[in-house]
Amino acid sequence: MTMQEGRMSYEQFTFACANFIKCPQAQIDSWRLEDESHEFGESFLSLSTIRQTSVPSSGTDADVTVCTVEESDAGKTDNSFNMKLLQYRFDVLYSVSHCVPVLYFTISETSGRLLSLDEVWTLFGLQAETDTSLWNVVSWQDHPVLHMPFLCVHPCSNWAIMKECFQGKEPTCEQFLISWLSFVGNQFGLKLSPAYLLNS
Amino acid sequence: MSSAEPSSNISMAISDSSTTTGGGGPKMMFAPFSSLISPTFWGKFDEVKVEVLQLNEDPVPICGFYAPHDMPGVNPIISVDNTSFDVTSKPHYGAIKAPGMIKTTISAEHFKAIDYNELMRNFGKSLFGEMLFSEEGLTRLAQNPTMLASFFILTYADLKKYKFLFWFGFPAISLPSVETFKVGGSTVPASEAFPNYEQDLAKRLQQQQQQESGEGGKGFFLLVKNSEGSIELKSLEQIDQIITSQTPLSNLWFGFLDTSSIDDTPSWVLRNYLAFIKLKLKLPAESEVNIFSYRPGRSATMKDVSCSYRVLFHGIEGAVDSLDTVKFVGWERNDKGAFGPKHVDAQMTMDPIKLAENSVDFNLKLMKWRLFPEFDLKMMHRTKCLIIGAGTLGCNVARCLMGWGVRHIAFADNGNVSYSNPVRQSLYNFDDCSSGGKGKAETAAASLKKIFPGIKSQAAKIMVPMPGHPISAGTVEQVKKDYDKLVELVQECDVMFLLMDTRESRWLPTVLGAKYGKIVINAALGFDSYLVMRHGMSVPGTNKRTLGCYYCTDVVAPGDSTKDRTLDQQCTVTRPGVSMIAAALAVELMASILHHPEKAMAPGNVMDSDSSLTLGFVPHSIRGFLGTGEQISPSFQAYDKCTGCSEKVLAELDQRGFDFVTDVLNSSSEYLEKLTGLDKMKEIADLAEGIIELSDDDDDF
Repeated sequence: MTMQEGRMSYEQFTFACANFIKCPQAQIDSWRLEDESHEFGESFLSLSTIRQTSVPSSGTDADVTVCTVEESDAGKTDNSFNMKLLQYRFDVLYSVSHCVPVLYFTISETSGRLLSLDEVWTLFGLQAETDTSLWNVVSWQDHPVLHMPFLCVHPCSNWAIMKECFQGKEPTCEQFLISWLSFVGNQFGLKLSPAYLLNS
Repeated sequence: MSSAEPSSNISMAISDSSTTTGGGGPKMMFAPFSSLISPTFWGKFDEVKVEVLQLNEDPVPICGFYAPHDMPGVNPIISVDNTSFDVTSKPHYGAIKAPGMIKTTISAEHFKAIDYNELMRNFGKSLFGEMLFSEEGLTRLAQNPTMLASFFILTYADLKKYKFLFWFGFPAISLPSVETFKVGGSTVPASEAFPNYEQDLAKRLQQQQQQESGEGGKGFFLLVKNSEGSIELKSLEQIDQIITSQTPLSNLWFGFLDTSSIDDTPSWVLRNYLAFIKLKLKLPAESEVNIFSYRPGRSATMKDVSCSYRVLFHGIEGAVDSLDTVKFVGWERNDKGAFGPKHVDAQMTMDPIKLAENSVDFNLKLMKWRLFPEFDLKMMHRTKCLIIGAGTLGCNVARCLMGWGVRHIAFADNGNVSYSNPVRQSLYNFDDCSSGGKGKAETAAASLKKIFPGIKSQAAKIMVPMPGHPISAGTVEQVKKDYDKLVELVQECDVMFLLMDTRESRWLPTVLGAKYGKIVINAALGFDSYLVMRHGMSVPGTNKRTLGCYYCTDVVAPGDSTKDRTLDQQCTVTRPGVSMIAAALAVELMASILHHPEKAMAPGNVMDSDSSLTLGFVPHSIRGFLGTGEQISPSFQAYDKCTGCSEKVLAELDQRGFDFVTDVLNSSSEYLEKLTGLDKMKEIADLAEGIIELSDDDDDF
């Protein structure tokens, strides 16, 4: 098994993660390495970000009574309630059966409500069922470590993509991870700065 | 501002004064905190509520986090996640840990009955307010200034529905004696306020942040200009030293991590910080202090936009600060911009049934992606299956249907689970057999729900009326009831599986299936052989059917097959694996039919089939023989004298309904043979030899 064939071992994966997290850009972007579990296959990289969106709020407060509170207070700006924020979480795990990194992600509202797959498709402006991109291999899965539902980009086509990527040249573990993440992540709203490749 | 807000006298006084007085410039404005809840928070909260809080409504400590973000013009954000319930947990890189409390009411009524102003005041006092009014408290705040960024959550959890009502409060203190103004009106960028800021101070601040990271940065610090004119970075704890050293206020900056990204509007935490400064330094009215708002850039595209404010504490005559006169504000607005709680439906995150449904579908989608692109999962979800006979075949067929994503399964069976059943009939177990045994149909339906709660299974305990099993005066009412129920079940379903243990019990379902145009799949077992077949469908708009049904190859009408049988013939005398094979084939046959462009009209032999179909051709019948390892897929034509699907039989049922059925049940087999003309055919056939006889002994399935 070699990386130019599109696969990596778990040791190569954890080594790549450890180097990745040391990269100054990874610190700026607030990537975290979750490696407290010593179980095989349970180390992973995680990134949480918040973004503004133009999608209107789901308006879940329609039926809630307005409460009377003494909040009259000239010292406060109130500009934010009409801005909708979404939290994105990206976790990079290792698939023991496919020998490749796997991307798990969730998009949720500020209340903690997860967006359904249909809502995520809409958010990305995709037409369900007709698109042929990697979006077709996205579905809900139990996060292998957190045991919470995450959207998972199924790794079945990963190795083929990565094989194309290196065309017979053996990459370093980090190059492998970063190339994969920039290709796959890019389709799901995870933009990696070019600074990562420059550093590796 | 919302009209929902009442105004107290005190706050009116504050608002009025802002337009008339002010030594410097405009009144200081602050950007309130917004809450951000990670989906992981509710999962953990559920656990804490069930295992720790239970019916306790007392607030418990939690923690939240705030950090600079890179969205321009957005309020500072305090986030909570699954780690928030462990107050010792460490914040992410660059984030500050804010202490908080969560109060959980045991009912929605309790939530609504709360005096929110009182609650805000109580939390404000207990989180940091009381500390501001004692020397010892002020010292503790200097050591742990993040208490100035405290928050609380009022919540109610409807754990059965995974729904939560919640309202965040970020208490900020209003000192009645003062108002704060920005001196000179505008702010001074850090690069102008401090010589060589980017090369020197910015780097030191960043380093400091890195060192504190992991431990949890404090988010508050001091900058002191020494006699040489250079800037020293000190912790807030050192404030007492600085006071005693008589450092002039003009050489001192009170710094804090400002996570607001709104121009000229610092974060909410500055409100409490200013109160702390005022009370700690015992500043007289009309004092001025320097505030350093630290806003580091988070990415290469974002610059450090830190700045320095000069703030005036403007005194208000006659007003005195004490714990009794201060006010606390800071309820968060909901998505509509009004003051009120928000609610969230976390079913997606927490309901295990939802998770199971998603995972089951995912497995099937894998098949679609990789090997079977025309696979239609939604169609499988919609297809309603009726299983008649909940024995070995019925149990295994149901399990296999679930594997294909079928969500609607109805069982019809009259029997009870007996001690011999569970080892072969895969939906039952030993406990189902005691005291006479539970009803098979209902037990099978319940068992499916245990395996997969997303299934919509139902059960009908009915005896299928059978030719040659006469109706007595005492049973006529029950037979009619069973008949009506069967008709209803057939009408409701899309696919019928005939999986009973006698030949004659298949007759009425066959006729009803033909009448209502349902897909009928029939499986029958011999000792080491099996037959799995689909019944031919009539060409739409006509009564013509091309492929035959179970009875089309018969030269005798069904009658009572049990009466001349020995005990071994009436019981399960098949090789146990035969039923598994036949059940699997029956379900696969259904999948092939549903995915064929012509559905049940698909041609029944290989020659006429489209070879490009992923699931291959759709056999009309499959016969297998374990003894020889053979399996064949013969196809045969519908027979116009068939006792099950011929026009004469259907017409008779149409006209006479249950009366016709009664006649069939009460008569000998000659009645049906006469009706269809089979009797005449038999006379001719007696003359001819060579009708191939294929055995489909029916046994107990």
